[in-house]
Order: sequence, then C-alpha cells, then structure tokens
Amino acid sequence: MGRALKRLLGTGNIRDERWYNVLVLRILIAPFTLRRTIKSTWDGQWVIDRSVVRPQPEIIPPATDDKATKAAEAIYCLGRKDTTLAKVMEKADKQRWYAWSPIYQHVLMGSEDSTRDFTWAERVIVEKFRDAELTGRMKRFISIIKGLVRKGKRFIIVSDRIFPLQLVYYVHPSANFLMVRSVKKCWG
Amino acid sequence: MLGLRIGILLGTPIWGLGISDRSRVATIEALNSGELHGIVMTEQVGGFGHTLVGASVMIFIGSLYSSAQEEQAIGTPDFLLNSEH
Repeated sequence: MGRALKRLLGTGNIRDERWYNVLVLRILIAPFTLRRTIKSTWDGQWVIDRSVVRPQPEIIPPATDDKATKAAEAIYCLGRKDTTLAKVMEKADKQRWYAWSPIYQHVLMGSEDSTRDFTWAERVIVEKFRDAELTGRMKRFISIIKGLVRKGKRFIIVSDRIFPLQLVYYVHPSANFLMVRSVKKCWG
Repeated sequence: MLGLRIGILLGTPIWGLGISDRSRVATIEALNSGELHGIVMTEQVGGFGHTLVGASVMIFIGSLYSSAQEEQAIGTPDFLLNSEH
C-alpha cells in the first residue's frame, strides 16, 4: 500500500520499473472495485444483467469418517492469551489446515515463521503427504475433483492462504490424484 | 490416473512455477481455451481484474477471512455463509 501511494503521489523514482507491480495497484484499488454486487446499479441500469444466471453456492462438509477436525480443535484450541484478532486468525489457520492434513504440524516445526516459508512447506508435503492418512476433507475434495473431470467441467480452486493451494496442487500417484505439472508446457 | 493440467494464479511462486505477468496471462488464456482442467489461486490475485470465463465451478478451501471478497467471488451477497472452516 505504501509503495502504491508513493507511486500515486509521484514520490520516489517512479521511472524505476521495480516500482511497477500490478499487484500493488490492485491492492490500492481493491476497496473501490469490490463494490459490484447483484444489487449494484449505474446510471439507472443494473451493473450485472438480470438475465445472468446466479451461481448456487454449496457448503460441502468433510467425509463422515473425518477425525482430523476434532483433533485440530483439541491441539490448537484458543487459549486465554489469544485475545487479539491476529492470534485468533493464527489459531484458526492452524486448526483448519491441520484438519485438511495433519502434516501441517510439520510445516509449523520449520523456521521461525514457517507459515511464510513456502519452500519448507513444499518439502514437508513431498516428504510427509505420501504416508499421511487422507483426512475427511481431502477425501471429499478428491471425489469432487474426479466428479468434475468426469463431467468435463473446468474449475478454480480458491484460498486466502498458500499452504492449502500447495497441498491440492501436489502430485501423488498413491492418492490416485494426479495434478501433473505439465502446465509448464503451456508456455514452454 | 486423472492426469490433470492445473495452472496457478498466485502472488507467490509454488512448486517452482513462475508468477510473472506473462505466466498469469498464459494461465488465464489456457483456462479459458480449455487447455487447463483448472487453476489454483488466491482471492487476492485472482479475485478481480481477470476474466476467468473458462471455468464453471469455484471451490473455496474454507471460508475467506474477508467476507466482502468472498461475496465478490461467489457473486451472491445474500447468501449466508456458515462458520464451518
């Protein structure tokens, strides 16, 4: 945000290409561009045409044999000192990513700020995921992806954290869930 | 074996894949043309400013911390999300 403001206000060496980063610009404009909803109007017209079919969100619970959720809540329960929003978010992240795969506890054993050490997380996934039990969430996720592929549907997987995206991107034959890294071939 | 082709749309490189603007454009084009089965993305990078018309299903791995961005991504502000993570 600071960088984006400097650039906007003309301070700093804006001719330096390092100043330009599309992500910085997006962070700056996000609060203004996020106002498009199905109720948005402009100049008396709907921003989103009424004929556009609305998506039907569905909340999918983990598979019924899920044990990881209770384990995650027990291991990373909120303490009395967890009073700030940052602390609550940290615990929530630990609970939910452990519930996706218990190997997350090994990610937390890495460097001082191992949750931001993405290379470390990849090493943990490569070394530990193969032998880890698939959680109820992961089983359900795999079945959803298989179903979508069978129907020929394209999908977008979204998270606000990197670890789950690294996890679901991971290729592992034993899970019969191959996300082949052949995407590289798309642009050589 | 599914042999999926998956792209990434992130602000951080994962699994050695690039995050340059060129890579992002190539990923979006590959998704929209059907070359990719899907992509993984953060809502911060892929949530706005991109035209992702090649996919018909979005899978959220848990709720996002920002309800505004989640509503934006889902497109149904009246939908009440439950608290299950």
